[in-house]
Amino acid sequence: MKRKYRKILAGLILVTIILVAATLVIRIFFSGSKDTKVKVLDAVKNYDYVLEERDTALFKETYNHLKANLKSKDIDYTAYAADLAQLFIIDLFTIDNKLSKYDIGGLDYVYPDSQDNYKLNVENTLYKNVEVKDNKRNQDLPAVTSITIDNTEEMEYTIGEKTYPAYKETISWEYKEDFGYDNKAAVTLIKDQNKVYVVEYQTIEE
Amino acid sequence: MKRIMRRLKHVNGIARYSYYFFLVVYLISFLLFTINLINLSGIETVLRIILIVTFFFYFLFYILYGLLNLLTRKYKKYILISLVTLIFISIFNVSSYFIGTIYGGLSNIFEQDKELYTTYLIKLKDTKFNSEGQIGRIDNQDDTEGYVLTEKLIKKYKLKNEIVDYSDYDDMILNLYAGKIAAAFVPSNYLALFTELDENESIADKTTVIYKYQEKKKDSTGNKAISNKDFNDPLTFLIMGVDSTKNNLDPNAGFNGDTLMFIAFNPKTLDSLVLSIPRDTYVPITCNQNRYAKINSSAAFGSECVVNTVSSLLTTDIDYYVKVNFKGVVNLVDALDGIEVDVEAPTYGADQYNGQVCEQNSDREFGNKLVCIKPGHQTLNGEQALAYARNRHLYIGSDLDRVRHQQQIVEAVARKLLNFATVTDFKKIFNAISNNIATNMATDKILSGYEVVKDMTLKALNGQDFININKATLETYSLPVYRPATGGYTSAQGYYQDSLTDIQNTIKIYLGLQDQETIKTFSFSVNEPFVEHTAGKGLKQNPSLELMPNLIGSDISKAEEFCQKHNLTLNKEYVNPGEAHYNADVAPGLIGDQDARIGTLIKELTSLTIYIPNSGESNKNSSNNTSKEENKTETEEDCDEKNPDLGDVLNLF
Repeated sequence: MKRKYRKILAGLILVTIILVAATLVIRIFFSGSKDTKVKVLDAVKNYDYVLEERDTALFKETYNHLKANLKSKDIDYTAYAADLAQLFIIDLFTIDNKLSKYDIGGLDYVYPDSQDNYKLNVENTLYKNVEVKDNKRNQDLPAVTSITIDNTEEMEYTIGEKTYPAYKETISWEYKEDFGYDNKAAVTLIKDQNKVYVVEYQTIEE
Repeated sequence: MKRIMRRLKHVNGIARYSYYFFLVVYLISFLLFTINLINLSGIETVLRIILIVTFFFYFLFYILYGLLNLLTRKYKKYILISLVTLIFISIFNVSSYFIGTIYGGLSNIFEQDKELYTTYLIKLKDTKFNSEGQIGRIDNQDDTEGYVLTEKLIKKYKLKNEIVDYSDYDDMILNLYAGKIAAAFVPSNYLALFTELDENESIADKTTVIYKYQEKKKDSTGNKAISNKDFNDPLTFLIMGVDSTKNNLDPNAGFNGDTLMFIAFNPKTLDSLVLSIPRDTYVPITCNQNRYAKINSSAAFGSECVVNTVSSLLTTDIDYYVKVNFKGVVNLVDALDGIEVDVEAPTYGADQYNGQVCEQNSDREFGNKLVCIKPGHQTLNGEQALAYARNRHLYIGSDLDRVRHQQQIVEAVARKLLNFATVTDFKKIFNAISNNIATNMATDKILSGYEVVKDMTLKALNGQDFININKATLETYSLPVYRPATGGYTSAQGYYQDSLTDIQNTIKIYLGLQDQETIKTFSFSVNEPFVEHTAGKGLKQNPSLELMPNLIGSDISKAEEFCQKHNLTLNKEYVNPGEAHYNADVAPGLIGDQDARIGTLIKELTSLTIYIPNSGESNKNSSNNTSKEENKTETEEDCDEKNPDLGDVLNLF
């Protein structure tokens, strides 16, 4: 009996060693030195707005506020636009958590037909010098720590031949450390069916 | 130990010998596997160490456990462990084969230090060559194939012919065609290099080789581009197209200059800048005493000359060059199962092929072997991709459109390359690449790119952007340069200095040599799409080269203004009716003739002589003679050297 147990134990140990070694090999091969994926913690159903593990506390707070609004029976679109504009700013200008210049902040909130051009714009302007995030990245990259809606204006906005109800949000924000990035802007959002999209961003000089 | 050996002798013979066999084979296979793994320096080092250590410990385990089972006659367990050992032996051998293939392939593309140099003495077919005929030769004593080996050939075959010196291969070949010289010394890549000098007949059809001289030696120009950089730093590459009809790239294949592409790559930001340089761009050729010529003619002096000429033009070091066989493009695209390209419709002679883009095939065959493509977005196979990359005759922009199409192909191949899925695909692609490219980048430097490629591949597989390919455009203009040696004009391209400066600065930014200002502000509107900046594009100020204009019939003040602007000495000669340079069609007092031909590069002039028809009055004649003598005194040396009158043409340079 003892001998039988010894054999089973030896077999189990051998299998365990093989599994651990295989796991180690696979992890090492696919890990690389740079992050390639971001973990999603939460998502707003039907809206494709997500909360990621790397998002800041400010982003999480604003996201939860938006989510609560979108889950209610009567959605307050003015509040929706205000929250979305804030999320857009926070995500775009919090660059220190981005994986590379191609990890574009605010993309999910932009009018779908213009997302490619928006991406091209950000890659060639704000994110142009952002290096790949690894242990060697040593750049002064901003992180938004507080944000305020200064003014909301309801209006109309035309894209092509179609006119949409729109909101123009004047927003100001602050950073963990000021590296000279924009801190005040006007963000225009349209309401298309039941969703709101960012269609314009114009910086406001102080 | 002796006791164990004694007991082992009593074990079943087959089992015992199989045990020895597996031990030896495992050891040999493991050692080969280990050597191959060690060769892959810089690749998954931790993983390689784990594998080596694990399999080494398994080897010890097999020695002990196998022996134990044999001695205790537990043959079933012994067979089981031996089967596992056999599996590992197979893994070692298969892995060694693949690693060896990859490493061998990468080593093959590295151009050896010693190259085979060849010089040919050629003549026109159906002409006789004897000791009385003149032989043309390039007068550059640093040119191995064009000069150095020719001296040895002359000595070997005891040639007594008069040697005529040329500063330019094109001039020399055209003079050969015109019968002005009986034969000419040409470099090893002459078949590819001069193929377009005569549109009706290739040099291979027009000429025949009289003598040939070969020698293997180290690169003698002293200009070999060797860099110590690897893929951890920003790198620059020069891609040179080789027009070979073979499936493999001859290690000494001549580059014919149709494709000249500069790439700057930053592995930290995954940004790359691609600049195609039109083959007819007129630039100083560094290894030919900086004489101006089309950039592709630098190929006649070897790869290093091309690299140094481009390096000088872009004011940046070129770390590595890569020669690409055109045939290789066909194999590579087919190995990728085609590439997605938006083929531009012809803009010149579109009716010729019913709106299609048609070009000779990879074997340079026409007729029913012509490759035709309809315009539009589609998947191109290898032959189609090559045809599209080569064609220029159906586009108004000619070579300028061709370089843009080549960039489209490069982009499409780069994107497809990172999506290969199977080992079979990888092998096909790898063979297509390794058989058709040559580079001066050492194998260990190539291997350093593993992490970058792995990162890009993982990003591509995750649907993320993995590389940013930015294009630069060198704005050019038509430059019909007068060639005194041939009395004709060459269709070159001048570039705009502002465009080149913008490109030079952009390159420095990509390489981290110049700080790029971080943009900290932003604007966006769906109604005003963002337009990406293309380095060099649209900047058409400050032409790099100017040509001698036609001053005949103009006032003398125009010549004075012209010479002052270009810092030339102006000589005025008054001529009487009947004298040389007298122009009866021009009123007296105006410029009747000029010594520098229209279209001569101004950079190559130091003075200009204008001939003014005299009215025939004596006082004008005396003052003219004075000024003529004064000017002659000042510029005698210049006139003797630079007078382009007929009979002195060959002495111009």
